[in-house]
Amino acid sequence: MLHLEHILKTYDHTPVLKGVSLEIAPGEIVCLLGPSGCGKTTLLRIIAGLETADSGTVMLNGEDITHVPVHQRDFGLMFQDFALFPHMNVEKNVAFGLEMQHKSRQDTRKRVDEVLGLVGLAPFKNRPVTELSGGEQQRVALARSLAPNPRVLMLDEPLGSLDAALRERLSVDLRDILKAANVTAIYVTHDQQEAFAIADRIAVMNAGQIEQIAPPEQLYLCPGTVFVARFLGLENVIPVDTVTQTDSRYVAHTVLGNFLIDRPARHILLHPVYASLVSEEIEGAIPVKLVKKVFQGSQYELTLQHESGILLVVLQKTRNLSLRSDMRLHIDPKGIIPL
Amino acid sequence: MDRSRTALIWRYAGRGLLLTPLLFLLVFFFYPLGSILQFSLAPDGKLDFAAFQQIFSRPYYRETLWFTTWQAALSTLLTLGLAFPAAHVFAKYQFPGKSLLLALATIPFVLPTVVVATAFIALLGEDSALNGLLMKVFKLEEPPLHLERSLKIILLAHIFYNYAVALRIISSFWSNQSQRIQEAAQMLGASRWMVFYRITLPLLLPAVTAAAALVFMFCFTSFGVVRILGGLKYATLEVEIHYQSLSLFDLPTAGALSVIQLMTTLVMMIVYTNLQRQMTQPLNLQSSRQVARKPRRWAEKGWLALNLIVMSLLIFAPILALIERSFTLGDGGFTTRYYEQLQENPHRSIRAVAPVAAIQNSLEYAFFVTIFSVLLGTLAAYLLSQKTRFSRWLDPVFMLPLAASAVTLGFGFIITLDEPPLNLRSSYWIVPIAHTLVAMPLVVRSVLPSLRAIKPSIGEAAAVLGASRWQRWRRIELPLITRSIAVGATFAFTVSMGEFGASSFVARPNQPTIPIVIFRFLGQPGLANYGQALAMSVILMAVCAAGFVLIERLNRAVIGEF
Amino acid sequence: MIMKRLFLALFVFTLCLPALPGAAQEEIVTLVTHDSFNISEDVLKSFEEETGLKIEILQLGDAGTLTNQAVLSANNPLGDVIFGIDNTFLGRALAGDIFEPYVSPLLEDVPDAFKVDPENRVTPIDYGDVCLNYDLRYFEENELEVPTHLQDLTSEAYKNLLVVQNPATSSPGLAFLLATIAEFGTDGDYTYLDYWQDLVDNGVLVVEDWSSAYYGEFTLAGGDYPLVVSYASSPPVEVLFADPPVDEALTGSVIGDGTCFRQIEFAGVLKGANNINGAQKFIDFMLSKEFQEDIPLQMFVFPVNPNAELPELFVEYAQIPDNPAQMTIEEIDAGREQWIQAWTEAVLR
Repeated sequence: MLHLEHILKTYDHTPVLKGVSLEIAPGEIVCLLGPSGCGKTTLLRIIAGLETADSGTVMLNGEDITHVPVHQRDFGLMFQDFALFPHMNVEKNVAFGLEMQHKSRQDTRKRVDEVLGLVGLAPFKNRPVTELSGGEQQRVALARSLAPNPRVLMLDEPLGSLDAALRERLSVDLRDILKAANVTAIYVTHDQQEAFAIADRIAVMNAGQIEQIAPPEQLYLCPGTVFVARFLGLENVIPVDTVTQTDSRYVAHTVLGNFLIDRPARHILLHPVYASLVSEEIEGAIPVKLVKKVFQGSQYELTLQHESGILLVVLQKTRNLSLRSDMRLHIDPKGIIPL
Repeated sequence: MDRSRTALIWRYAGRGLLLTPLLFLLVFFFYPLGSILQFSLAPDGKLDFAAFQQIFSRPYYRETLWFTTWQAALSTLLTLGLAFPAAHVFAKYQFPGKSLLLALATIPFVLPTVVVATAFIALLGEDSALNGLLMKVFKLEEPPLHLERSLKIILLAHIFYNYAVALRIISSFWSNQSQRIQEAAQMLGASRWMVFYRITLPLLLPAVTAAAALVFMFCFTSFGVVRILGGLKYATLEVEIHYQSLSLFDLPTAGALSVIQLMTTLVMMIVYTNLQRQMTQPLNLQSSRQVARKPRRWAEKGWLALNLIVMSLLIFAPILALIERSFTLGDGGFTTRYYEQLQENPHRSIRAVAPVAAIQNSLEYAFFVTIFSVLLGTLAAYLLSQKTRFSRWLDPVFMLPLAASAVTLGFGFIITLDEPPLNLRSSYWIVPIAHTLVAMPLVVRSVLPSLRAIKPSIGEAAAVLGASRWQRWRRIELPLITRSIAVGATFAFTVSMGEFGASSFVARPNQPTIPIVIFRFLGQPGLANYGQALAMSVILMAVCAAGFVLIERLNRAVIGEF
Repeated sequence: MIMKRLFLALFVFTLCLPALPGAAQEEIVTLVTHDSFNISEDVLKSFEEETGLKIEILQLGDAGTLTNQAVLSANNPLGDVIFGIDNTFLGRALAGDIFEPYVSPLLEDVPDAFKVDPENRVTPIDYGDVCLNYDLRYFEENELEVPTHLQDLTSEAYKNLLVVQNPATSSPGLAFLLATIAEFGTDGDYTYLDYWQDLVDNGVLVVEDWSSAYYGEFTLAGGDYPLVVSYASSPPVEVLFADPPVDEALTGSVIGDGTCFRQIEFAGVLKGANNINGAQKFIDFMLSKEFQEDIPLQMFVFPVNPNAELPELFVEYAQIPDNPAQMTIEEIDAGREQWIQAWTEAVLR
């Protein structure tokens, strides 16, 4: 169990981390997701011990490791640029961490073969790392950080330098490898697809704070803040004019009409997953015009305009829709999320 | 003209350009050297081995070769041992006065041995303040330090002279080394020491060996330091060559000794260049700005302070002693009169030269030498960085000018450069050419490690983005090697300002440089002459320091900080 | 922008460099000489104006280096006239056949003792005596007698007091060695090598060159040795450059019989010179009263022409030995290398 308690960090009077707390269960893969400059890499480096926090504690299994030097933490870190040792071949790179643990030569060789097998690089053992392709280097870097059985493995945008197709394939591979190794992992990325593919839970970071932490599905279906919604590409965020209370529930008054919500909020999200176009009058359906239609393979992304000018985006499978036609949008009550 | 033909012409022009340094060596090094060796060893066209036989039959020469080698090796080891920690400090930390300190550390390189000797004796001699202090503190009857005319002072002086060579070459390479790789090793459980031993040091080896090779060469061919500071007990091969060729005018023996000196160093350089070639890996070079930071923890501050103290004792104390003496010589306390006397010419002699004129002459030579050696040296580094058998073979050859005896080469100039189109014996250009021969290897050694460390993909990336060969060089490669070029330029400038041996045996028109003026003063009796020699030495140091700062500025203005 | 301006500045700087050699219109005489050559501006100028010749000076290191380089370039001389080869190296130069004989009309005034070459290949210009110098103050304070004979130096009184130069690398060092050879000879019961062995036993310090000895070890400059091999002209020069100025001597010369060695410097026309006529005119000029009287204060040696008036400083402070050590060019040339080698083996190794 890795436990971060109120981590604060300031660079040149600019706060980079504003009191971050986080708990990670053994074997869990947690993604730190956020735009560049949100502090995710700094948080990672503090967990690793490469930076020291101004205040706050890092605990592992109840032991305070805030001041344990980096090389005694038994953590692994896979760098964005892989940082392979250019003067060593694949085998020596992977064996390095094991040698630092003074493993016997036999054990080292066995473990190196094991992890190289895991990442599918067994035949590359004696190749100089400078001659490998990007994807191969990435897998060497992964094997190297996995080899010493780190108590926590951190990955700093490990797929960042690869092309989209490779990234997609490798992110699935990566999850399988991490799960097979049953390692606690912290994964930093700014790519939500990557995070969804790999993480057990995702912590969305913004301006030095964790905005929300949740499993990928829950995060997507029920984002907690305007920032999280927008960062995940959920654009239908409507400002709330006033909120009134009826019984145990609240009514949000907006230009699109009134919506029932279960807590007071300044914005509501109309989640596209729960939106459907309807032809007949349904109580609460929003009158809109179709202004844009983008084909995405299995579905269409439709941009709809309300008479107030507000644009809403929904995903639909329906084919025969013509631009400028009047239609009505119905949102399932589950899809009305207070922010 | 169609495009592919233009491209072809450019490619050949480029190759031709790369061969110019080789041509320069052939004309101004191998041709004179070969001629004088032929003249000495095979006067009638038949090689006479008698001189070699005589040399090998006498144990004295074997001992001399052995002494030359081990004192050079030991000096190199000590120099690197002291300069390496300092290189770490200079590469990794930002602190006020850093570039000034670096400039000051390079100053010894230009100082005449006789002048340095007086500073050393003032500091460490039997009657020095240090000995007095030690005697008082430890209640000794006798002064504990006996450095005059000892091996220790030879080693100390070699460190004093070569410290900056090692410091600059290693720290410039180190300052571009990516921090990430060290962090990766730390994450894998390597302690600081382990990271250093297994990662940092191996990756620095190209620069370390380059520095070691240069320092070794300088110490191997050491002459003034050995004779003037060490006393006449000690003799290197170079000393023997001087003795045979100048005193005894025994050209066959001198020639044979020169060949032995060249071959010995050539073998070492072949070993070194092969080692270096294997060691150098393409690296992710980082901006030195990004790598260097302020020292934060107390341990870091202490480490920085420790290195600066060692540096001060080693380099700055003798320099300060010199400056102090130039203002206090004689009995009258503080005085600036030696500086004032420099301006006067009471005897209206043609030899008298105003300091300004000497400075101008020195700077003029140094200007040409810096330009020549940076151009030729950088081109040579490109030639050597190619992965062909030809350049592998050439690599050690470009170090040889440092190994050649100055007097042998000077004699070579006399007998070869005497006819048009090379009628240069008495021309203005002979001095800059002689200096460039010594300076060029320094530029090559400074630039080559950085050049080899550039990942080919970087240039390829730029090419794909539409950059021409020239643009790639100007926009991508040049910024990546600019720090090393600046280091090389500084050395070239320094070599010229300090008048290294190679030029003292070539004819020179009456255009006295600062070191020549110093030697003239030192050649005459009278305290005023001695005082003016010291004053001129201080001026030499000041001019050099200003030159270093200017090179640094120029480097930043032209290319920008990397 | 900055780049362009910088390159422009460099370009302009290159253009502004002083005109490099080759621009002169006058008839040129190239003088090849050692680093110590010196002359008054006025004297040189008046010669140039009188003759319409322009003197170009090429300096080639010390006397030994000068000699060797002149011999090496015998087929294609470096200049027209050479000055600065002295009697200790003259044999080597004569053997190298580098001179064009010339008899200057002014040679008449020169005493025969200086005319060492019957073939007149070289012309004597100046002489200087290499003598032991001693620190007057040190000798006074320690109530030491000034030595009068070379043998005195091996006595207990002068233990650890003498510093000399390496004869292999220093011109006064070689001269002093020759003085000891002239005195003690090369064979017999007590040769010069035995004498040197006694000197070594008596703590003689041998250093590389004159500057190291005079400025590094001589008591006057703060060293530990009050006796140094230097020149008879050093005491007046020491006064000349004393700082602050003094009116009595600081050093004296040991001028006892056979303790000094007389160096004579020669000039000669180089064989194959471009301008033989100009070279001869320059040799005449060097023997002229004007040049001869200029010699002492510029090069700190004595003119060969006895009619040349010595400056007051030299009259007052210089002691000239009556009987310096004598050795012919032939003797020196026959023995020089062998003596140096023997000395090196005996004293240094």
